[in-house]
Amino acid sequence: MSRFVFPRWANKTRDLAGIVLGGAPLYLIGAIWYGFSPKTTDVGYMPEQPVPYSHALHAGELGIDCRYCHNTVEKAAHAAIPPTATCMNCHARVRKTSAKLEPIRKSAETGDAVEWIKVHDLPDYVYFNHSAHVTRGVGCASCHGRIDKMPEVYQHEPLSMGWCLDCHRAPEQHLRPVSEVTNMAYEPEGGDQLAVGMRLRKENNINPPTDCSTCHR
Amino acid sequence: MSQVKKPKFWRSLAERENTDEFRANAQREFFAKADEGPTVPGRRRFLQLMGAGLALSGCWQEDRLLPRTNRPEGLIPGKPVYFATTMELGGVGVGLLARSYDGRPIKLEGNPEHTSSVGGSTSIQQAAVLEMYDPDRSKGAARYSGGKRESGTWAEFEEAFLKKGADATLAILGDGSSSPTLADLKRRLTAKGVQWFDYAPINRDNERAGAKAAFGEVVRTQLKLDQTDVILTLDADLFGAHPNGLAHSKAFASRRSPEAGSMTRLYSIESSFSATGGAADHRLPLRSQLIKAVAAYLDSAVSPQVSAEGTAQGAPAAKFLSDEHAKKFLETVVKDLVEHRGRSVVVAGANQPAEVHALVHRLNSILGNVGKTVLYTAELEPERESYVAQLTKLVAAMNGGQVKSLLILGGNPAYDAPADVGFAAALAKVPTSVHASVYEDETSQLCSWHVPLAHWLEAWGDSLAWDGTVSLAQPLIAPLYDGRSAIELCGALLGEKLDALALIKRTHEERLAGDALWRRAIHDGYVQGSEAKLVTPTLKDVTVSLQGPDLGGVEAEQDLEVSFAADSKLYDGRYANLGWLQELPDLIGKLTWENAALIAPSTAKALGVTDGDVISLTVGGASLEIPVLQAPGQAKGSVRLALGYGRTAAGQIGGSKAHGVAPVGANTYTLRSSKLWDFGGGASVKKTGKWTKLATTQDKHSIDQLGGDEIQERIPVLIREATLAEYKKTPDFAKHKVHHPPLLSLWKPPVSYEGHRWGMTIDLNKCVGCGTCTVACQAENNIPTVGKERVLFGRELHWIRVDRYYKGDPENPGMAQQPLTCHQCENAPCEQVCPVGATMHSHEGLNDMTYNRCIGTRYCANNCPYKVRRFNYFNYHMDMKDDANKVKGMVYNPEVTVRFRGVMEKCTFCVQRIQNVKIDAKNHRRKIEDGEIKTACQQACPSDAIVFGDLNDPGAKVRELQNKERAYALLGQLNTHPRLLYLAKVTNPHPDLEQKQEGEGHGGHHG
Repeated sequence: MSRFVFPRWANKTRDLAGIVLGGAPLYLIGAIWYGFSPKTTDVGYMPEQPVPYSHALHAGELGIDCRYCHNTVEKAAHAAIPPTATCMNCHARVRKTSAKLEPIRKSAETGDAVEWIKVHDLPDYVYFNHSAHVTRGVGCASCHGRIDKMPEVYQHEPLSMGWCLDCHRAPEQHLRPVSEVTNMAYEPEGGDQLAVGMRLRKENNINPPTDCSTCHR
Repeated sequence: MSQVKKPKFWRSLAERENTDEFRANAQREFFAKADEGPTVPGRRRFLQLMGAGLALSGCWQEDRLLPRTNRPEGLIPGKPVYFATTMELGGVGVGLLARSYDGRPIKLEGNPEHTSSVGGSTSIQQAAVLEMYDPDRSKGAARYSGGKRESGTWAEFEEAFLKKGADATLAILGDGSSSPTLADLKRRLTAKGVQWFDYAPINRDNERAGAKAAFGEVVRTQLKLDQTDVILTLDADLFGAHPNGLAHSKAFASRRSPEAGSMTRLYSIESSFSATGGAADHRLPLRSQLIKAVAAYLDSAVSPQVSAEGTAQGAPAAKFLSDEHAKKFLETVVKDLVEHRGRSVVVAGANQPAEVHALVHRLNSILGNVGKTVLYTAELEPERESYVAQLTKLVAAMNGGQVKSLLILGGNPAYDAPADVGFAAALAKVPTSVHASVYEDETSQLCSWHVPLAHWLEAWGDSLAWDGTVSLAQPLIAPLYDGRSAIELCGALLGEKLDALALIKRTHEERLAGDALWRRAIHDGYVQGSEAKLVTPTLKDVTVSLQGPDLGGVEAEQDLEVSFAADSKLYDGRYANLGWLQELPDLIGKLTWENAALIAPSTAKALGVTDGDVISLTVGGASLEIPVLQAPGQAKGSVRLALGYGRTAAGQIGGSKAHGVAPVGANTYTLRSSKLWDFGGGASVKKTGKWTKLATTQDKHSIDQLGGDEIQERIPVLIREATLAEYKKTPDFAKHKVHHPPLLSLWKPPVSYEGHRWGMTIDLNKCVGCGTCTVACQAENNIPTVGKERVLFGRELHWIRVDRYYKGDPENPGMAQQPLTCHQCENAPCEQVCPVGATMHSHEGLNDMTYNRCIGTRYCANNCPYKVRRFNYFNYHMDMKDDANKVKGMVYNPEVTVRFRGVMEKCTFCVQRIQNVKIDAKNHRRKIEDGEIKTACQQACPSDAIVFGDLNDPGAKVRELQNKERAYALLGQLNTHPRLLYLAKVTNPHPDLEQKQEGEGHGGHHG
């Protein structure tokens, strides 16, 4: 009986196996590192909302200030989603028959809430406070991106802990005069963000803490 | 063991005697089994869940945002709003402030402006929110016939009962509310012929009868403890059980600062340790039966010295007066009282008979206290009979067939009526009986109808404070389970067109004419200037009869006395289903989830019983099986029984036959009859041979692990105490209790604390050990209860506990209380051993605990010398998966993470409160005021023992206190640099009774 002999080319599989087995852990680490990072999983998250509300139209084209709707942003932790009544301030007259606005009209009629889907969803053990940032001069666009150009809102930044700390350690990167906070197209004076940021930081005594209890309670 | 010197301070008898079991436990880093892994769910189940978790992790659930359709102006989602309201208990309203998040009340605080709260609160008030969100609450009307339950509706009930209206065949049994509106409705109902009765198992009828005997009219005593130099309590718990206890605690604490130069002196004569006895400078344990003789003795001794008018009592021939120590004690009391005429107070407990109260009125009068430290106001319904008499009458009417229908408003008489009155049997003879109550309880099941009563946080209401101030309650939330209030029910019976709010407005229309006044009163929670007018009753001659047992004769010595008392946690039993209260260690035995027969160690020895032995206690023809707990300081031959346990229809926590949950504790009401109402002799004890392990927390978390001798050496260092005279000589005595070499650290402190430096002080001189801080912390910080089995394992999760130390002779010890929470060490042992950086030092000096980072190694708890870190062993929120229990989630504070199993938890000085104030202050570019941030424990503390603030603020009170001479760091010799300092205890003993220097050969008596 003839014995089975591996052909000569089979010797190459050994090297190949070596490369694959040696590389697999590296690949796995890389894949997990990249694949599970909030940059991959969260950035760009754009759920379908019950009403295709366009920030690009309202905040961009029409130029409505963020705080017209999100009016608690300077006073509270939450930049509250506006009540239906706020929508109806205009839409009682404007586009009264639009099919897209049907859920809003229904809500105003029945008193049942419009079920918006949360885009920027932090873990439950994180206590972020909008007022603390907005009143110090961190612009809306710094975390939410150019909302005025988003027909539908998506998550622009990873909102990961490392991302938070980047700014808490060097807030000058994102500080602007408090009056410019909602200005989507803000450009720093002289184009030098760091110089403006440093000056504002000093003037307003902004030293964001990096203690655990700053965000976790 | 006899060669070992007996310690001065000790936490339990086991520790004092240094028993084998105690030493075995002290050797362990954790209490037995506390460090053993969870058994349920097992490892396999865990892996299954892990697998499922991984599979699911790809698709997370979308969070939905549901804004209101129309948001009222000024309302900010997620920001708490505060409302003033009033909680009534035992016929006295206490003003509270409710914190509400998005329409969800989650925390109650004392109303600083209300005279019966003065900013403090009790553990029961702290737990009231838990009661409202209890899934076991009654959820709708029910009909019972022949023991069968059938769900009903309000509409059916209206048809079957309310529409029939009120006539002479209807009887109503109230629970002794002080509500003016209910009183008004009662008047209208009785005018229609309705028979109205009231019954409350915990009441002050003896006090009323005593005033009647002394003055010929029923008056209420108002004490001015802040103007008092000498206080004598006779079986009275001024701080805990008294309806005005919060105001008393505050006033007493205000006079307990040695820095002021003078302090109140408190004498306490009582049969069982109370918060008041624990705080006393001198305490004499004495059977409740003998208090009458004490009162007679005091009168006989004081009267000649103050040349009092009227007839004084003859010196009683009581046997115990021949006891040298008792004699000396009473002589000193007399001397002190006479010396401080006009600035003293004598008080008798609600359990003492009318004669004692009458004598106390006489004593206060002849001592010139009346008008100064003792004031009188008119009492409500002066003509009413005692509650027991009223209930007896009702039962007679029920048996006689005069009652065709009966409406029971609140209460639970089938459970708590005197055993000999036969209420339950009579109930069966009433054709239509209705029980309106918050829970469908024992009484509901015997009635033909049950309807849900609205919780007081869900309804409009009014009541009267101890000083008569009209207090208003407003609903914080719409009734969760379709309940209606007693006012609504009575209104419906009368066919009133008005709702509860309108009825209350009608009652107070004279006082609160116009919208502005009404709004003001609702805003404040009370009506300004509405307190009862002072009256000046004239004292009549008081005579008491002293019989055999009152004098403590030879036969009385062998006689066993039982005395009943409202439980400090469950009150009359109505709070049996509240886990927070069940798990709160009680003041004396540090006992949780149970009641026990408290017996003095010497009596227990004579009876041949020990801790956990189940005895059969027989008195007045009834017997009860109940475990024994030896209570140092309990009067010899006296057994104390707490009421309120052994419920069979409380709910899934307190015991429920329907759910197959065994009752918690023993129902002591079965021994309580109208003849044996407060206390009485003739009890006998038989061993049953059964034994039960009592879930006490007293030996756990023994701070020192170095063994018996070292413990005994170190405990006096944990609680530092001196007398006022010693303090005056060496004000910084506390700092000299420990001497250690200079403390060096291996590394430089990493933080310079330039911003805020949070610190806390706890004044041991003010703390009476009530335990409110523990429950307040639990409510604020979403701390779960763990249940009896796990308390036995030492797994209770309280972030702040109150360590109770006894001092001296077990038969008559002194007591010291020490609340213990995270010390936020600057050089923290816990931080140094965490392998994952889950506990980190903040720039403000807090030991931050990051739950999401913790992997549960428990190294930190191991290394914590204060034993204040708690490991969360289970997912205690598992039961919320059941839809019926979802409501439990409503009580959580949204500002604090709800922890999962496997993480270490601890106090962070309520960092959520710090952060919120800090953010608000910075938003407005303003400074944080001292006192603006209050930790939950501080805010709840009725005696202001806890002070928190910024040590970098030169004007901060906490800084002033930390710089006081008697401030000391607990275990400071370990170089931990704690931010929590204690203010040493300074007692104010009378020189004649002052204890000799602690030495050998205890055996004699001590004061």
